[in-house]
Amino acid sequence: MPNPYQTLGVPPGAGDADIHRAYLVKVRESPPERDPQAFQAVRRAYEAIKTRRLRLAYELFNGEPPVLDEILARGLRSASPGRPDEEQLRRVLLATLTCPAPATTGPKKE
Amino acid sequence: MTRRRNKPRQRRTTYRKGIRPEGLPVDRYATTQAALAAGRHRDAIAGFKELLKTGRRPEWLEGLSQAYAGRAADLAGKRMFKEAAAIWEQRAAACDLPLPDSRYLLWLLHGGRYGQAAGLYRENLETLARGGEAALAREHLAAFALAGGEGLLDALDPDDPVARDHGAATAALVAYCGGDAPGLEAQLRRIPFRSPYRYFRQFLKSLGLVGGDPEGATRLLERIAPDSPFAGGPARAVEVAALPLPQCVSRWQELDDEGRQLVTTLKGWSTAQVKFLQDASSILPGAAAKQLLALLTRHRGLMGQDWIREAAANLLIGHPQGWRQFNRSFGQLPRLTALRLSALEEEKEGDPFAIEAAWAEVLDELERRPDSEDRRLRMALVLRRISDFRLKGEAARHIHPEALAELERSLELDPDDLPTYLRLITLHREGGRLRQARRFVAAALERFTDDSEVLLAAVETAIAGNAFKKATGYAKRLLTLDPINPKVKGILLKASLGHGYKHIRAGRSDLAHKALDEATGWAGSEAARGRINLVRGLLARRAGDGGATALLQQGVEQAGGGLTGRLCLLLEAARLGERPHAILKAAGLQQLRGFDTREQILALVEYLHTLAEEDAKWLDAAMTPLHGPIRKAAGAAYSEGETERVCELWLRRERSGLLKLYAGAALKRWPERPALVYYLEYARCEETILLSPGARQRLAEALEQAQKEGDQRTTHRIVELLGPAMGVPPIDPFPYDGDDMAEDLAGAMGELGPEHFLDILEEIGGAEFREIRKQLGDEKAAEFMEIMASGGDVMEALVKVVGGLGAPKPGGRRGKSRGSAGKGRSGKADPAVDEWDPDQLELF
Repeated sequence: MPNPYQTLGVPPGAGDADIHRAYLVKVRESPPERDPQAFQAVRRAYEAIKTRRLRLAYELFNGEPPVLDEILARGLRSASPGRPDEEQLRRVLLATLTCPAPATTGPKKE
Repeated sequence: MTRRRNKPRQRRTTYRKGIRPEGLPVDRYATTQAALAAGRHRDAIAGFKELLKTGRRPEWLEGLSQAYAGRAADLAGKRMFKEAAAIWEQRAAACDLPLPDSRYLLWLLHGGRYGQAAGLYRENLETLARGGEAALAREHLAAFALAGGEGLLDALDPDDPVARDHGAATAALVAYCGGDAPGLEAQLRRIPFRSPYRYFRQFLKSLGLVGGDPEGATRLLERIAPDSPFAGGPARAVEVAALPLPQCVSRWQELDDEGRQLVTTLKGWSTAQVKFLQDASSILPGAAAKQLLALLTRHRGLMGQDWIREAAANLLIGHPQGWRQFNRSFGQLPRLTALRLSALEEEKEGDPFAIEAAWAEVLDELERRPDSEDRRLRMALVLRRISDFRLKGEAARHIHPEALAELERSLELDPDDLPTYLRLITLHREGGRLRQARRFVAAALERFTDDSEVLLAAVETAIAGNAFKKATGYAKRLLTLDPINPKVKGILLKASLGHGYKHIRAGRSDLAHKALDEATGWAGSEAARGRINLVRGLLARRAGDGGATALLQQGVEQAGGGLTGRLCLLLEAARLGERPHAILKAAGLQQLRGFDTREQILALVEYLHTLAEEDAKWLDAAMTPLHGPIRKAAGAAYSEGETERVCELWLRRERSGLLKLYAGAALKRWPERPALVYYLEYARCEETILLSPGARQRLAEALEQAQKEGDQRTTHRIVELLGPAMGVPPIDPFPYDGDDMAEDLAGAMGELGPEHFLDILEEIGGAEFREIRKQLGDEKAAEFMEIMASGGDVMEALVKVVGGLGAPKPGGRRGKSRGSAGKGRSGKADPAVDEWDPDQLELF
């Protein structure tokens, strides 16, 4: 299971009330009828850390190592997406504009 | 001076592979045509050029022009646009053909000859328009104009749409790059619907959506026409940027440098992140902990200190060799964390002693710490974890006291954990330690006064201790909170009836009636009320009460009537030690005609599926009087599903005779259904213990069919049944050692009876034994068994039995000569032995 604190967007020291609030926000963002998978992930995360006892149990017994996707997400998280400047965009266009393959290789009727 | 005749000049011809001039131009033409048809354009060009040296025939010129066109297209396909354009020019010169062509125009553009391309377009606009190619040419010119193709716009007519709309498109590009969203919208609106820049509009919009609405960005890209210059490289880069992270990373690798750079910019990745990405892209999903730990270590600056320490630490579970690297990179872990990780590592290894020891160390470490609520909670959690391992797979009666002590201690540290109370109550109750169970009931009730689970546990514990009044008290409390709780009513009904049986057996009818009255209060269904009336009826019968018959009949109807109702009566009778046939007769219910129907059997089977396991011990006695209609109903018109349900029930309830009958009848309707074959052979095997060769064959075929159908349950069952044939060592039910054989045979015969025993031998021996049995006759067989049962020797018994036959029946001999028979101990021929055919003894 991905880190439940990250899934709910709360810091590791969050309390019951904060976690519950974050859970409600996430459920509103991903309600079950619209995004069942995301909802299930949010629900699982909440059930894992909703009380003090559960949080301590998670701390003690969670030994799930990160998978590659999680590491990528962590390493590539950006402050904000960027945009190319004019020069870069023109350069990209010049390098990548695509020539369509011809329909026939023979000469067309002149 | 004599004029030297000029010899014909010897031409030095270089032959390309595949072209062999055979002397006549017509052969060379065929070969060159073949090269052209096969797409070997360079060979075709060379071939046609050679031919054209001998004369400018139209078909050769045509061929050469096609070969040049094909060669140019090949080069364009490899993005060698300059070369493609050059070939096209050679084609025009060699074949005296006009240069302008939409393909040539595009190659000029993509090859960087923008001005020339624009000039060509301008001069041949009418031709391009006639061929329907003007729009495509304009789109490509527009794209290169935007990209900064030098000299392009100057060569165009100012009214041409490429030039006319260029301003708006450029302004939109500038607005996007400057982050001016309103400006971008305004400029995009200025681009007309059919403008050559229309797909640039989609492309630019999608760029704007990548960060906030990646799905929207992808949808816009899908609207770009496939032959648009924006469709390939540019759209691909934006598409990758819009993907979720894992796919984005793997597709990012496939882009060219500019495309990767664009994605990096759109994502806002730093140089360090790009390096991380390049490093990570060589690691496959599912990579070992060692690789991931190395990746984390190399790029720890990107991850955040807390996260990376925890993530890297968790990677040590399953990769203990990584500790040194971890300590070097992230510093020594706190002792508690290190011990915790070691314990989790031991859990992965699976050695229960090591697991307990490791968690015990964690506990010790926690105990050394200053007291706090969290510390106590942690200790309680660890104690429960240790207890979990100790209790796994243990029966309640045999649980080690330490495991229970750990759970109990956890409650001292954390008294608010309801599941632990419930667990302790159940473990103590099932282990027969009722005093301890009651202690925890009291403790749980003190903390969780109105909890239904605690009250239910209290009811069950009170019943286990025969404290029926107490149980009733708890139950009433529970029903106040949860009026329709079916579990508690069922428990109390059972308990009341149990009391009733006890009092009936002890002859205490007043108390029995009281218990039955109590039971009536808990009966939540007609069937339950029927059961109570059956017990009342049996009690009344014992007392000689005339109303017994009516009560019994009423009870039977309430319990479902027909076979089911009668079975319920017979079960109650069996519980009270009554004789089943007598009860049926006393109740006037001995008539079973008309009950051999599909509906009766299905209802009976449904009831038997719900019968509690502890009641199964009465089933033999209860079912015997009903065997007649049950057996008769074997051939009723069940559906395949119903048949399987019925057979499954006979299997579960170990009724092999009924299973054999029902499966056999069903196989007549659905021959070779694997599940039915399994049921039949299983039932037979239950009777004969061993599988005959025929049975093995049938099961093997059924196994194949079951595997084809994906019927895993039947496959598994057949494999288990076949056992030895599947490589499982056989369990010899009669471990043979010569001295035991007679005893074993006698034992088997005694248990099974003569006819049944012979049936078994026939099953094993097949046609041969059938023949022998026919020859011997059952009487002789019985005689043989008598000799065996009284301790006789097998051979002696056989000799006596077979010797008494006299001359064998016609066809009984196998044509082997006499004289090979045994001669007896004296060495003289034994007349008894001499008179029979030794082949008759082959079985033994």
